Amino acid sequence: MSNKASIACAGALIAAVTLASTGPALFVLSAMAEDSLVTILAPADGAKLEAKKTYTLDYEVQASVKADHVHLFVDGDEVAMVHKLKGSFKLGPLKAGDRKVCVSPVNKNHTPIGAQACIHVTVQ
Amino acid sequence: MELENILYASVQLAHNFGAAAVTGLPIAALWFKPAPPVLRKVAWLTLLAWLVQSASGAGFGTVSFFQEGELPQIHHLALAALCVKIACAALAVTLLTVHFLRRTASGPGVAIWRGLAILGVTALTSAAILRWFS
Repeated sequence: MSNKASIACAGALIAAVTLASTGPALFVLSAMAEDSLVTILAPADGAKLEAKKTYTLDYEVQASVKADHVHLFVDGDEVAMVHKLKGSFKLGPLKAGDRKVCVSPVNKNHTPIGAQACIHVTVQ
Repeated sequence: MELENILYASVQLAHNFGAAAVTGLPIAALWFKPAPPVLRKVAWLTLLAWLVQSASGAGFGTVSFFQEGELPQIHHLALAALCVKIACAALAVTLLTVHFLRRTASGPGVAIWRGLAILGVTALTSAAILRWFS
């Protein structure tokens, strides 16, 4: 194959891959309010949990252009991620003691969008 | 919000073109085996692509920091993937820089192109992990 043909093939390959992967990012629409609100539905703030048990943490994020997915933190350490704005996490088993559990909606770049919901639970 | 999306999309655009180039160019060089002068040009393009990758990669963090006031929350597997991507970029730039400092008339040899192709594929694989884990 000639050099020009080689370069043309390489260019076509690059263009195809680029178009396929760039498309969605170019059409991000902005039409809604920016102030996302996240709520932890369960467990309740101040709940007493058992150390060896696994619980379900239910959360809901108000629809927002910025919010893409949700990170779950226990005592500041990220423990899970879910690609739903309304859903649940598996919480536990947790170590005994007072624990701070937070749900943080983030954008596509994993950057917090400013809203965060936290509860304090006592694990026995 | 529009500005933020435009900034993210611009950075993503550069990053995607860079990703396609750092992987596609070495594979094309190995596959089509062009003449040495062309190989040399392709090597320059590959170096440019890796530099674009590095700059646009840093651009994601920069946009986050100036638009949201925070850096992305990246931990565990995603952090490891980011480190792999950075290492791939550093290695590829070093490999190509060393080649050009030698001032040889021909382009890089097969071993260098294979190395660059592996680095490109590894970086692209890590990018998928970084995107879907945190």
